[in-house]
Amino acid sequence: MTPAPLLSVNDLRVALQTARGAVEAVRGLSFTLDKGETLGIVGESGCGKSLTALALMGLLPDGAVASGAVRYGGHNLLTLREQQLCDLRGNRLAMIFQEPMTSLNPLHCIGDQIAEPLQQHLKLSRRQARDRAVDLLDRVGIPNPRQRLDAYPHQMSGGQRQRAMIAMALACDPDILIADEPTTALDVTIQGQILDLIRRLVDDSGMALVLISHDLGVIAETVDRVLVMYAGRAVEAGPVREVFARLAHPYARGLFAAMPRIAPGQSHPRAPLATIAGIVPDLHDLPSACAFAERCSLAEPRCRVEFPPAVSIGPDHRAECWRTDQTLGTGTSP
Amino acid sequence: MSDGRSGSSFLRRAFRHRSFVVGATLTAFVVAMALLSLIWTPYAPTAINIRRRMAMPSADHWLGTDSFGRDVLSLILAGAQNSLTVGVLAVGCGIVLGSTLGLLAAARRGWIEELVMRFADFTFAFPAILSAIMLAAIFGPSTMNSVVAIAIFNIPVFARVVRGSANAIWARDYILAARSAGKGSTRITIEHVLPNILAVIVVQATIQFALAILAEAALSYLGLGTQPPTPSWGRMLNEAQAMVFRAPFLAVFPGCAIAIAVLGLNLLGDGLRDLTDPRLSRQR
Repeated sequence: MTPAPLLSVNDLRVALQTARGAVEAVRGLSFTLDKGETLGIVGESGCGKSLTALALMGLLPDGAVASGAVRYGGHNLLTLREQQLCDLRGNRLAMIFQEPMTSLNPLHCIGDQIAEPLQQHLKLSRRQARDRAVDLLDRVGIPNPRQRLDAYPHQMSGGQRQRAMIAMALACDPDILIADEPTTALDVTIQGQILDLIRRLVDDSGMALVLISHDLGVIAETVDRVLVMYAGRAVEAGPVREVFARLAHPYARGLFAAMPRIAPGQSHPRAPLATIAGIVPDLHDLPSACAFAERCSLAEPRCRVEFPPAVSIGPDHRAECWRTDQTLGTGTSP
Repeated sequence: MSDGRSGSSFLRRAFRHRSFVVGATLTAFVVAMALLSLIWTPYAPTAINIRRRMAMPSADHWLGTDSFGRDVLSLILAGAQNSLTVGVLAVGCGIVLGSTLGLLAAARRGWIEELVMRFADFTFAFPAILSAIMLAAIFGPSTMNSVVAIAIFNIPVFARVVRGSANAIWARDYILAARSAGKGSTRITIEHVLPNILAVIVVQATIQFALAILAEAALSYLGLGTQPPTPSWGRMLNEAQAMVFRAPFLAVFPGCAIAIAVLGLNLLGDGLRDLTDPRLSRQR
C-alpha cells in the first residue's frame, strides 16, 4: 500500500449564493498532492480555480459553501473549526496572491508583516522573528535585507513586494504553498524571476506547490502535474509533459492554441491570435452533459446529452471527453 | 488613507487648508478658555454681588454681570469647562462602545451584524432630548444625566460609521493575506482594521463633539442637564431669556460662546476629513 498523500481532495464542490439562487462554481474536483509535488491548475477566468484555492485554505467568501473532503494530516479541512484552521494557515498551509500591490498592509513595515506569523505560530520573540525575517528576505532575493525590514510597502516595486509576500508565506516552512496567479500582475521580465524563485524554493524545502494560473507557459515551466479546469471541473489532468505532448481535451487544445507566440522573422504578415469561440457558460444554467459542448468544434449529438466519461489517455493522464479518439487521432501534437 | 509617509507633509497641507486652520484656532480658543478657568477666572463664577447686578460691560466686568451680579466672563470661562467635560465624556463613551460594536459587527458578520445594526437603528430613533427627558424623569436632572443621554445618542452613530468603514477594509486583499497567514479575526481587527479606520473615527468624533456641545446646551437650557449653581452656557441662555429686552448682552455672550465652539469643531472636522482623504486633498 502506498503511503497516504500529503493532501487529498475528494469531490470538492463550492456552492455560491447569488441573487438568482445557488450555483456550483466548483463541481466535483478530486486530486492528490504528495510531499514535494508541484501541481498546476489552469483555466480561464471564472472556471473555479481561485475558489478551489480559497476552499483549500478555508478562506471562502461569505455565502460560499464547500462540500466534499479536503484531507490533510488526518483532518478534513472543510469541517475544521476556525481556531484549528488559524493554527494551520500560515504555518502548514501558506498562500500567495495575485496582487502584490494590495496584499500588504500599507500601514505596517514589511519586516513586521513577515515576523508576525513567526511570532504567532512558532512563538519566537520579536527579536528572533526579525532575525528570521532577514534570512527570509535574503532567501527570496531582496538586496540589503536588514535595511529593507523597515521599508513600507509603497517604498517597494511590485516584484519586490511579491518577493516579500513569498517570504511571508515561507516564514514557517509550510508543507503546502498555494500560489494564486502569483505573476499575473507583474512585468514579464519579473515573472520569470519570481517563477524561478518559487521553483527553487520548492526544490530546496521539499514543500508541495499548487500553482494556479491562466497561463499555460507559466504552468509548463513550473510544475510536474497539471489540471485543466473548465466550468468547475477538471476536464484534463496528468503529468505536465504527457498532457502537453498529447492534449486530449478540445478545451485544453483550445487554450494551447490561444497562447500568443512570437515567431522570429515571421512577424509579417502577423497571424491572427487563435481564440476559443463562444463564452464561458452561465453557471446558473449549465448543460447536464459536457459543459464545453457549445463551444467545441468536435461536438457531436452525444456530447450534448450524456456526461462524458473520464478517459485514460496514458499513465496517470485522463480527460473527460467523448471525442478523445478525434483529438488524439488527428495527431497535431505540438 | 494615510500610508505612513512622514507627518511633516500632513502638517504642511493642514496649514494651507483654510477651514482646518480656522476650525483649529477656534477650537483651541475654546479649549484655552476651559483650561484657563481651571486656574483663574476674573471673579469666582458663583460669587453673587447684588449691588452690581445687570451691569453693562465695563473695565471691572468685561462682559458685564447677570441678574445675580455674577461676572459673565467668569461664567463663560467656567461654562466652557462644563461643555467640554460633557462633550469629552459623552463622545468618549460613544467612540468606545460604538466603535467596539461596529468592529464586532464587521468582524463577525451574519446575525451579530444584523443585531448590532438593528440595535443602532432602534437607539437612533430616539432623539437625545427625548432620552434626556426620560432619564431626568427617572434619575432627576443632572450633568451626568446629559452625559448619558448624549452618549446613548452617540453610540449608534459610531457603530454605523465604524462598521461601514471596517467592512470596506475587510474586503481588502491584505486582509485575505493576513487571514491566510493564520490570524484570527480579533487580531486582524486590532492590527489591520482599526489603524486603517482611525482617521474616519477622529473626523466623526470632532463633528459629534460639536453636536454634543449643542445638545448639552439645549438640555441645560431646558433644565434637564447641568443644575445651578454649576455654570453652563445653556443655563445662562435660559436665565437671560427672562430679561432679553433689559439686558440683551446676557443672551449674546453665551450664544456666541456656543456658536464659536460648534463652528470651530465643525470646521475642524471638515478640514480633517479633507486632509485624511487623499482623493479630496489632491483637488485642492
